[in-house]
Amino acid sequence: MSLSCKSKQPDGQRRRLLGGIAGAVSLGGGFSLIELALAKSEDEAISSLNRWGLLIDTAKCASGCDACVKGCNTEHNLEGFDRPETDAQWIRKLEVTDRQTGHVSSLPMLCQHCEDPPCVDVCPTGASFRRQDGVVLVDKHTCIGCRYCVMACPYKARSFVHESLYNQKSYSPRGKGTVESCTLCVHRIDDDRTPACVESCNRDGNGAMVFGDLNDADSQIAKTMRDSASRQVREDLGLNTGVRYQNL
Amino acid sequence: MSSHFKTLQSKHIGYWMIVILLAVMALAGYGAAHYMEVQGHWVTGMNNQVVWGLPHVFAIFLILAASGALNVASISSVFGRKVYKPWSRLSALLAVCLLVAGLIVLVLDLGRPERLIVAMTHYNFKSIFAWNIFLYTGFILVVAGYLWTMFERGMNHHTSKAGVFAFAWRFVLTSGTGSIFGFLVARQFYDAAMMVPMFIVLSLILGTAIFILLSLLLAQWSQQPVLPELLERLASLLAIFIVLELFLVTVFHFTNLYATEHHGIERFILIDGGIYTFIFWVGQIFLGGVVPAVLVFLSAWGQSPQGIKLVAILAVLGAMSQLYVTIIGGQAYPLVLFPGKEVSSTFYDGVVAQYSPSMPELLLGVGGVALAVLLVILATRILPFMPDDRVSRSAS
Amino acid sequence: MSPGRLILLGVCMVTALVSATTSAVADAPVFPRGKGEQCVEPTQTMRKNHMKFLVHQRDDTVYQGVRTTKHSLKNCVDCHVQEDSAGQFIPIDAPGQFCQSCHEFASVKLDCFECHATMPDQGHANLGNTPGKMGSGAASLTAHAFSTKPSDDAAQ
Ligand code: SF4
Repeated sequence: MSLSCKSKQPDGQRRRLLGGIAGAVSLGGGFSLIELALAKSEDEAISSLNRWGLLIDTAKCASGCDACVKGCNTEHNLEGFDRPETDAQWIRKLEVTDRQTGHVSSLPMLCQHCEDPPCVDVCPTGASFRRQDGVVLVDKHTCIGCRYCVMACPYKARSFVHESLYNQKSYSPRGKGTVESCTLCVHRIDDDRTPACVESCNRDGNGAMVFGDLNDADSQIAKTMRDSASRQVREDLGLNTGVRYQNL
Repeated sequence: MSSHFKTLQSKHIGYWMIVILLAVMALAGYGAAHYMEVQGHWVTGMNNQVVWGLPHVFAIFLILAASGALNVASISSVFGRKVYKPWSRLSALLAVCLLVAGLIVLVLDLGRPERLIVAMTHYNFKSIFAWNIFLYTGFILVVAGYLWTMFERGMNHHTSKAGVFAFAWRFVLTSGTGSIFGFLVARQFYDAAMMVPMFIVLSLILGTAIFILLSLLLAQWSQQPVLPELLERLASLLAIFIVLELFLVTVFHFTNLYATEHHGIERFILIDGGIYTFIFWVGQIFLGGVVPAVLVFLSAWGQSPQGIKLVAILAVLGAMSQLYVTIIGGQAYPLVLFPGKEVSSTFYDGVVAQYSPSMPELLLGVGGVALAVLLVILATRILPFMPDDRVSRSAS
Repeated sequence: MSPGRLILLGVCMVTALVSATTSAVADAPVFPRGKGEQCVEPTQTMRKNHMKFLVHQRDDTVYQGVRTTKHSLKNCVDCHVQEDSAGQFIPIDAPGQFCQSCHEFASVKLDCFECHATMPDQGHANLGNTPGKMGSGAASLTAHAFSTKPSDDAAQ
């Protein structure tokens, strides 16, 4: 397997290099043509040259807005059973109040797609894993539902499926007895699209989320992160998260 | 040597009634697990805040007890104390049965118990759970081998070697079990190396107490009294372990109190955690710690068979309380995402999680304990695990 | 073994074999045909090895992000799913449907649909920003299902 990955790497590299060019060309207006030519082909494997991530600007994110949550719930059909203690939540809005100053920030909390994810460390079967491109996932085929990863996650990002589900989306399998969390919409990433939460935030919310390749120096996300300060939640744990926050 | 051991040949009506009772309880536990699997875990008290509930408490209880139950055999073959020897086979048998039952409870509480084979074929060697799969199955094999050296006359001279090996193995096993919690850096209550020694001593307490209770039970049916001398020694050992655990728990909480970041969780467990605070002070510290220690060390009655029985029961209660407070209480306290800030959300951030054990969980846990005892008292009928009079007398 | 016993054994075996085949014909699963001309692999290959294709594809997709449709479960469902008289999809794991009928016959528990969608996504196109490649598998595919006559089964 590792061999085939290696042979795929040049492709990934090409994709990134061309991505840079595409950015430049798109200014000139040839956007759709180039983008079509660049889309990852179905049979192309992901590459460790990419690292997908999110940048969330808490100054833009508004208290009371939950466009991202709605977007996620619709995309993955997370409609619950009206049992809030056991229903799954892949992304939720947090209100954070400073005890001393009273300052309130509002932000979405979700799987932080760590580089060194505690859930992956503790998973006995290796079902929790990190894709080469940085997305942390659960392989539900090998998850035994021990919930050790839920215990280990510092962000409370994981949910255990407590009952039988129907009406799953074809691109988002989920089922009773296994653990799940934000997939960063891998089905969209593999298709060169943006995660549902980001799309909803841009369309119905306040445009507080940016998605992109942290490894691509020319991407908007990498540029913004280079130019202005951003933070990781629980950075004391040293997990190098793929989701970062601004103005926190 | 084997002539000094015998099978249990009780025709007591009480024996069979207990066998039937235990079998019914074990079956009820299995039924409850099946119900939980078919319905999904929403029918339990567990939720996305408290993901390990009562079955985990019982499973860890049984696994710790298993390692501790080997005490008598270890003292006999590792430290060469004669008075323990007649009971060494029973001690090893009890260890295996408790572990098997603990593993069954653990597996039946999985989200996908039928995927046990996946757990056996896919390993992530960074995971403490994965190590534990080896430690647990290995323990069963090691103790089985140990038992074999005790049973097979030609192998008797290997008993002490096997005993040392099993002795080492059980410490690693208990450390592994403690590490399940000790390595959870994200959780305020677990993030401590002290978890390991606390679990080790807890296993010594549990194993000794359960051995006392079980040998007293079996003695009724086999006209084979547990010698007062042995009982008294076990009781003092138990009391020493209890005092040691009280000490470790004190150190644990004091070091936690020293670090400001742990003040929240300490306040929760020690002062305002409601049910958890109550179980901690009343169950773990007072009834399970102070009272049995005082009984053994300061009263003559605490040295009588009746007194020792009570001490053992209290020790089990205390250990159970400690596990409940550690496992459930530790999860009920909210994760700290932003130190120094207050958080709120639709996902119970920043609030103490609710958990009340449900009937199926209780049945599964109790069923596991019943299964362990059932296996022991049936196995003693089949093979000569019980001490024979002559040996017991000559040893004293 | 004496010759007499051998003959007896032979007779028993033949009888068993014959009765097994006849009962197989009688109870053979009847399931609906898929769309298009033929399946993604020859019918015999699929009968024997569909699970291997699926597992292979599953790992490629989960770990490598490879999203080819040829051997994907989604593709099976898209092609083999039935609609009821009202034009609603019938879950493919419902009794008598493509996956379920055969698995029931072979007494092999079907675990895929504890998690996977049992029918194509409805209204998927208006959810995403661009209707991506994900939805195009069924449309582009001109595959056909197994032929499912019981006599065909018995002939194998
Ligand atoms: S619940 Fe599943 S993914 Fe999580 S640690 Fe257990 S096996 Fe791994």
